[in-house]
Amino acid sequence: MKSIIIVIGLAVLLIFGGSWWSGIQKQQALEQEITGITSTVITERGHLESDIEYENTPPVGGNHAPSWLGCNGDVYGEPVRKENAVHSLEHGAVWVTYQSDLPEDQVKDLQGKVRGYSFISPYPEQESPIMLTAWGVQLAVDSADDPRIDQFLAKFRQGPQTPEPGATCNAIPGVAM
Amino acid sequence: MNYQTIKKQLPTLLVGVVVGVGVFLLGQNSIASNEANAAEIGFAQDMSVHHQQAIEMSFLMREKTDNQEIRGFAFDIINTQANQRGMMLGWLEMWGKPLSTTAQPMRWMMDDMSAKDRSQMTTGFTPGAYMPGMATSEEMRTFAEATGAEAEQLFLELMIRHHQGGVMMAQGVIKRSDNKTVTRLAQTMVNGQQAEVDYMNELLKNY
Repeated sequence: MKSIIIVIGLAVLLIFGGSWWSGIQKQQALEQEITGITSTVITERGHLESDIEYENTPPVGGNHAPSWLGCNGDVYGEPVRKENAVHSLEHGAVWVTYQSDLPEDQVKDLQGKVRGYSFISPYPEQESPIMLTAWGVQLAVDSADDPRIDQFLAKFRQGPQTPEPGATCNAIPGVAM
Repeated sequence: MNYQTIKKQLPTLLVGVVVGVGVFLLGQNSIASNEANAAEIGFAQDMSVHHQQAIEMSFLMREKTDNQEIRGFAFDIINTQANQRGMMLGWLEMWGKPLSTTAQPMRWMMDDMSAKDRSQMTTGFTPGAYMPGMATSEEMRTFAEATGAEAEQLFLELMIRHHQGGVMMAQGVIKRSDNKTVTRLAQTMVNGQQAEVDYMNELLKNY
C-alpha cells in the first residue's frame, strides 16, 4: 500500500513539478530583455519609388522601395540605399551598421556575425559606432565585443515583430542594387 | 522507513519515476500537438490551397514579362506564400491532421455564421471558385494564355481579388482562435496582403 502511495506521489510530483518548472523557464526566456533597446511603433509600410525621410538613423521601418536588398548574410562595403534596406527589415532581417571610422578589426568581427536574415553596411550619418536595427527595434553599442550584439541577432532575425513571416532574404534575381 | 524497506521498494520506486517522467513528457508533447479547433484546422487546410494559387499565378507571371517591378513583386509572393504554406502544413502535421481535405471548403468559417452573414460572404465568392477571391479554372486558363501588358493587368486584377479574399479568411480564423501562433500569422496576412492590395492598385494605374 505504502509503495503505491510513493509511486503515485512521485508521479504527481514529477508531472506538476516538471510543468511548473518548464513554465517558469519559458516565461524567463520571453521576458529576457536586452538593455538599451528602443522600440518604435511602425504604422506605414507602403511601396514608394521616391526617396523617403525617416525619423530614425538608420531607419527602423515605414514606407520603402519595392525591391529589397539581399539580406542573407550579405556584406556591403559601401553605404546602401536606405529605402531598399527598410524593405529587408520588413522581411525579418537585422541590419548591422557602423560608422565609417570603426576600426577594421571590429568591422571584420561584425561581418563574421552576419549570416541568414541579416546584412551589414557602413552608415556614416549614424550617431553610435555600431547600430543594430530590425523592424521597429534598434540598439546602439560602442564596440563589436558587446555581448548584446549576439543577443539582438538571436532575438530579432525573423523575430516576433516581423511584419511578413516567411518573406525571403534572397535578392530578387536579375535586380542589381 | 528504514534502509531495508527502501531497498525492498526500490524497483517500485524506479517504475514510479519512469512512469512519472513518461507521463510528463507526453503531457509536454500534447501541448504542441493536439490543441486545435475546427476553425484552426480548416483555415490551415484551406489557406494553404489558397496560397498555392497565388504562387502558381506568380510563377506564370514571371515567365510572361520583363517588367522588373512586376517580376520582383511576383518573386516576393512566391517566396512568402510558399514559406507560409510550409508553416501551416507544419501545424497540421503537429496536430496530427490531414494536410488536405475533401470537406467542403470554408465550412470552418461558415458553420457558425448566421444565414445572413453567410449569404453576404458567399456573394463575395467568384461563381465557380472554391474560396473567397480565388480565380476560377476558366480565369486561370485566360490568364495562362494572356501575354504582355494584358497579362500584367490581369495578374494585378486577379491578385487584388485573391488577396482581398485571403484577408477575409485570415480575419475569420483570428475571430475563432486563441492559438497565438495561428493568430499571429493570420494577422500578418491581414496587414501584409492589405498593404500589397494598395500597392497593386497603384501599379494598376499604369495600365
